[in-house]
Amino acid sequence: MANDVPEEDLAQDVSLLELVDHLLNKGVVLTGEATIAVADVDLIYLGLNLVLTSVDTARKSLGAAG
Amino acid sequence: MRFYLYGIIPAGQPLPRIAGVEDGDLLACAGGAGTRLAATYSPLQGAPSATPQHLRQHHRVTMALLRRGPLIPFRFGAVLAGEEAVQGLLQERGEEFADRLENLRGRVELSVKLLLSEPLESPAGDVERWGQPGTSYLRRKARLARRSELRAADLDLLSEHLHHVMSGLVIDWRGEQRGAMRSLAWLVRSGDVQSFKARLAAFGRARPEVKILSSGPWPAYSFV
Repeated sequence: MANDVPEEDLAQDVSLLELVDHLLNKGVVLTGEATIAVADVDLIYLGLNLVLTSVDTARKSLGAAG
Repeated sequence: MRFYLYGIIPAGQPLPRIAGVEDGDLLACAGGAGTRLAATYSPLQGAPSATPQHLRQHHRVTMALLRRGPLIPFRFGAVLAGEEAVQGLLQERGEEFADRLENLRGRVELSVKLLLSEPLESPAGDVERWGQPGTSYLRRKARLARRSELRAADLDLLSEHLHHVMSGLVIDWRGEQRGAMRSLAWLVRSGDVQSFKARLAAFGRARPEVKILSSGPWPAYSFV
């Protein structure tokens, strides 16, 4: 079954805050050879805690993967 | 060359024509005999860094995949050594992924963040109390702690009310407290996205004291 989300919804721009929250905080995590390299990310005021949490989560994953 | 992963899709599902992270090709690696799954990936030298550009491109790829069918999204930065490692993953977790993929068919994630508009005052900003640091400071901290508890309780009530407003649309949901903000993720049928957004807009208009940040649809990052 093809996804029937309207094109205008799929094409919407999203904030860096939301990208960091979803892509660095969530999703399936692999073990073993999975690595996450975290570079400097421009911070957005409203999401400061959110961004730090996401970066912190990424660093913990990096540590767990050795 | 390593396989930089985006997500799991049904085997044989057509791929969108879109460049991957670092302009890598978007390809699919099937799980081999006995599985009906494929992992989407770009062949790269190693894990890309989490720059805004790379995050946006990863997002574009996953959204393009979502247009074509169900998707189990990986966290940004997931890398495996090659085809053998990917097939091993799909064999090892194939049943789990197959069940999840079927549960996500025709469904998407919507994100809502609730923030009370009234800002918290900071004890450090009250200059005239510098002459009375000890007891006064501790009392102010205690008041702020009580206000934080009340704020969390307010957000609990708001979240419950919002959940009630969305009844009939929500298949599953997740919630967590992050400082002064409540972060919610909702799994809905893709055809209900507009209804969800309309109800959320009405909810927000009736509550000017709440700042609502919403986004989506997304692949189901919070439900995998």
